[in-house]
Amino acid sequence: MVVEDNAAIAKLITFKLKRSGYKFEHRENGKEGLDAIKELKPDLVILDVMLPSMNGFEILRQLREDENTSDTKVIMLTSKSRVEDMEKGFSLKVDDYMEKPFKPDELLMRIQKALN
Amino acid sequence: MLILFVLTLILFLASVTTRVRHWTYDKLTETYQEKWYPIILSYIDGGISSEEVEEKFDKGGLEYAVFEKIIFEMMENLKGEEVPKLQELLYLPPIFDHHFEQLKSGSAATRIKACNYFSYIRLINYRIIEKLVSFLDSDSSMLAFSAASALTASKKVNIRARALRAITETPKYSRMAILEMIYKFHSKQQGQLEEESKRLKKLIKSKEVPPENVGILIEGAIELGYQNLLPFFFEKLQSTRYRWRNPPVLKALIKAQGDFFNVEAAELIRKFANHADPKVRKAVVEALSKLGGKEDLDVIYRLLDDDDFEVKYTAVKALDENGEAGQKLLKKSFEDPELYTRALVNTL
Repeated sequence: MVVEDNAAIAKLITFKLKRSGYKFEHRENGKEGLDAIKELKPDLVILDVMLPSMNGFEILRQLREDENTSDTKVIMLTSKSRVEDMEKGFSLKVDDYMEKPFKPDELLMRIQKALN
Repeated sequence: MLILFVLTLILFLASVTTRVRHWTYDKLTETYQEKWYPIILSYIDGGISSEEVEEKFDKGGLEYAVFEKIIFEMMENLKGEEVPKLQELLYLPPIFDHHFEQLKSGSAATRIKACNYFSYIRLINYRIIEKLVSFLDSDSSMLAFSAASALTASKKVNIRARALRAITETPKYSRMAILEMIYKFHSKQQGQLEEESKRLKKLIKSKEVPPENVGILIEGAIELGYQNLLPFFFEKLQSTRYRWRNPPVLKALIKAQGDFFNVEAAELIRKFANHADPKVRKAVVEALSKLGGKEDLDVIYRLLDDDDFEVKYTAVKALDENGEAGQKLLKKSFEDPELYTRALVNTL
């Protein structure tokens, strides 16, 4: 599941995922993203921090609190490089973290690693 | 009644026309996005060449704008080998020519769009430079600033200095705008530091630059670490000429001594502790706090009694941060009934 509101980045990530043979869904809004994750129970979520209607940390917190989604693997993508953001992510048990600007191939490697 | 009906009808038609225009614009944007995303992604992936991308352009205007927006957004969010590949697409002749034509437009808004493009692609040739320089004196400060920003993409120091000069010589730009321009002027390429310093020195000495902007230039140079300008700043601090005694300039010159740890300047700085301008006195406290000698701390201690709250607060902070000696003076101040430093310490 890709929850990312930047159209260009979402297109690029989903293009790379498709090329690598992954099945995926994309949502560009925080609230819709959370609903879709709860409904579809994906193996992994690529989650942007700054999202309309609900930010990535709130989605992560709600996922971790719900026993049906508490084990869902999450890689966070953020344009903020502030340490406190990373600390907040790790305190909510994020599986991995990537800062924008990022290398698409590195993201694919991290996805592979998280899924294995 | 009839007039009212006609007016309502005109308003209704105008509103419908605007809505239709917006709808058409959105639809066209969507169409171009659907067209260009797969092409650009395929190009990044090595599926097609830049020549093949070029062949796929149908129309100018909005199509170019949508194409560029996709590229800019990707470039802002990506790093690695994808970025130069994406940048290469911005050099494609239809895009380049389109923006070069925009430079010749009579509209400031269109020219600004072109400036933003040339600032992004960092490809500046003499035809473009000539055009951009002609915009530096424009009545539109947005256009002049955009042109200066685009010129700072040049690898040549003299061209970047020309842009910086145009922005600093006029009092109409904000502190942030000037600082942004100094940052753009500063190249990360090695081997340009000496030449950049020479240009900065010339600008700081220029009578055409207002004192407020001279102060900002000096502060920008400090922020960017032009340590080699310290002897020049020290020499000007020692000067008694009015130009260098102007508060915004003096304040920046004092800051330079502290930030570049020029202990030799401490004695002179102490003499400005009673300056009429509180901003200068605050700069004195900050600089002496960094230089940190016993006499410096005594001066800071005296400024605990300053009339200006900012100076007083900075002095408390400075003593608090100056180890055992500073703490000792701070505790001593608690016993003085004239000073209310204890309350300030609690706000630190």
